[in-house]
Amino acid sequence: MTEELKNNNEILLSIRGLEVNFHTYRGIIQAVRSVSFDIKKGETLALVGESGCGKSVTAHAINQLIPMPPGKIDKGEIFFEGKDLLKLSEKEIRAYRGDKISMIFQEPMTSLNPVFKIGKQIADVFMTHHKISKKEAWDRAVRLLELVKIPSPASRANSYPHQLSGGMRQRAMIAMALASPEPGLMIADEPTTALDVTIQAQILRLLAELKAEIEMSVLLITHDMGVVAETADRVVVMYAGRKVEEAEVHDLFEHPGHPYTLGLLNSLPSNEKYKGQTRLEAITGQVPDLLTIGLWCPFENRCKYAKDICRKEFPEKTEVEPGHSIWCHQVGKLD
Amino acid sequence: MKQLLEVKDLKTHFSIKPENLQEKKAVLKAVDGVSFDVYEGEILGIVGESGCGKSTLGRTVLRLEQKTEGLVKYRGSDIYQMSERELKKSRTSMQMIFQDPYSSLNPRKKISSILEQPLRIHNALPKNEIPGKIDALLDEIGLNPKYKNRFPHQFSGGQRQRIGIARALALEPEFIVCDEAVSALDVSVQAQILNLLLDLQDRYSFTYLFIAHDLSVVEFISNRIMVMYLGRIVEYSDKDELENNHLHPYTKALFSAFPSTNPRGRENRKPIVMGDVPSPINPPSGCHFHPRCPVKKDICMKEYPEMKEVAPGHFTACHLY
Repeated sequence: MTEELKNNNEILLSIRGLEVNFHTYRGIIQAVRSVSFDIKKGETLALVGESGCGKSVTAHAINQLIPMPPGKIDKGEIFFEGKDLLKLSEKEIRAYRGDKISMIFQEPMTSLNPVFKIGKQIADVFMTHHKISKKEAWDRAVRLLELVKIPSPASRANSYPHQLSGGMRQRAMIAMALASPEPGLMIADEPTTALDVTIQAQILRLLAELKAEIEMSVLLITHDMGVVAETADRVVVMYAGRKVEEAEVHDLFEHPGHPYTLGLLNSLPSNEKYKGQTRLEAITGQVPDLLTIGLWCPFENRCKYAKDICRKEFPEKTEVEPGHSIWCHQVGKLD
Repeated sequence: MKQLLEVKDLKTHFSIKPENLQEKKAVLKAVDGVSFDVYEGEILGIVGESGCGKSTLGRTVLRLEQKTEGLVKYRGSDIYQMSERELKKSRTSMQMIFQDPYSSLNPRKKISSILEQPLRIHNALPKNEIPGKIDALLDEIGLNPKYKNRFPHQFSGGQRQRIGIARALALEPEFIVCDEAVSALDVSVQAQILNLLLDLQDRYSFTYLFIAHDLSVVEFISNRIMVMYLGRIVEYSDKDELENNHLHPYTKALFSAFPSTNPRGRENRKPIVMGDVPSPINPPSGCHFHPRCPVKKDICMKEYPEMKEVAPGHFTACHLY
């Protein structure tokens, strides 16, 4: 596996058979179960699903930001530039965090330090990873604030997080994520969820522009199909810790193959089919408890296509088209 | 259609404590001169970004927040002129569904006692009929009555929101304010709750004031839509008219910022509005939207535009029209 990946220049990050469990006093929560996917160089991959589906845990496993304990990565490999990140020591992984693999968090107010100026917080990233002077680091921070289109960046660098609006704070976070000279992978964990829709549009556009300028890959974690449609190249749909569908973005929206993906798209009031309609086609029921979940298809209890086999085993992968895979026993039988 | 609620020039201002001795007392004009009517049986949607005053408006209309100025008439009687006793009586017909199903249910009370409370406070039913009513309520909102002795933490977010809805239904109201009633929910659950609200409306011909920041949700559920920006209504009309012919630059910005769920055509993106929402403590002069407006004129910086009827039932406050 390693050899194959080393030779494949296309792929930046490869997750293989990842299993993450949380060992709590109530029992073992199976947050992520045998999830595998690749991120190619320069692409935006969206990891989409509802709360508790394991999308954030998967992303945090890359940087090993999962609180351990109670969390534990029980199985799997995460190859980045040919190295298995899960085999690195704490000191070695630190060289990747914030440098080659950077992260944008959902809530900029709680992820920025309230007692330091934002210029200093960005400069810190440079000084951690490179031997440069304070002055030089500060200047680079100002240049980054300019890159993310913060007006009057030189004076804004002297602001504390509470003096900035939500949109500005998220821009500052993005600037911090860009602080490495060649950000390889940017993990954006619900980057616009806490923002108003007009500000969200600005941030999504900024990310698109930055991606065109800097060669980086983006792993976008989101629950919002609208954000996926606007930004992603490829999409991985997760449900209750499992990957259920993977496809190129147009394929996913036009030919969703998994009943859950279909249900998710049908749950959107903005879906064009609801023009003039008075009811939505909602998915019934609720997400199963990850403490007691079985080995079979996790969507079985809410799926209107479910048959006996769905309650027995988790389906194998079916590749319906090159690059479009579905994990469902009833592939092709949805009408 | 019969008028149910009349709101005229309503203002809700909050005074902000100064942070230090030098600072003057500031006034936050959360709702600043809003007029509209709600008709029987309709769903009136209010959409706007955070801090635009939509929630305060919903609360002021129910007298959960004290107004500063203006008039709120429910079925012809001014709810701010009512005595405590009259107000309590009218509360049975006006209810609210709250945003956060986690903080709006008392964690120490069983579901049965949460649902019992409005019935007891208003003496709506004889004691022996209350358990039957609770079962009926739970059945109505799609929860099995056998769960009534559980506590809120034993339910998922969607189920809790159903319980919040059951509580609002308990007194058989006719007017319900839904304040971001589906915003905290996952999209698949959100669809269930939207359907439930519509089913209940069909059955009991409720009137909803539906407040949300999510344009697609408001567009789907409402008959009429009001768009708010910094304490004021900038545009309102029937849903179809607003969808096809929105005029105010802020409404346009809102529509174009809303992510489409069709990935085709995203390459030729529409222009988006830049800048941040200004603080409602010190809103910009003239039209509040002018600092972000792509088509502003000189007059926009000086005068707040009046609300004008541009088509039958379609009103907007913009100097361009």
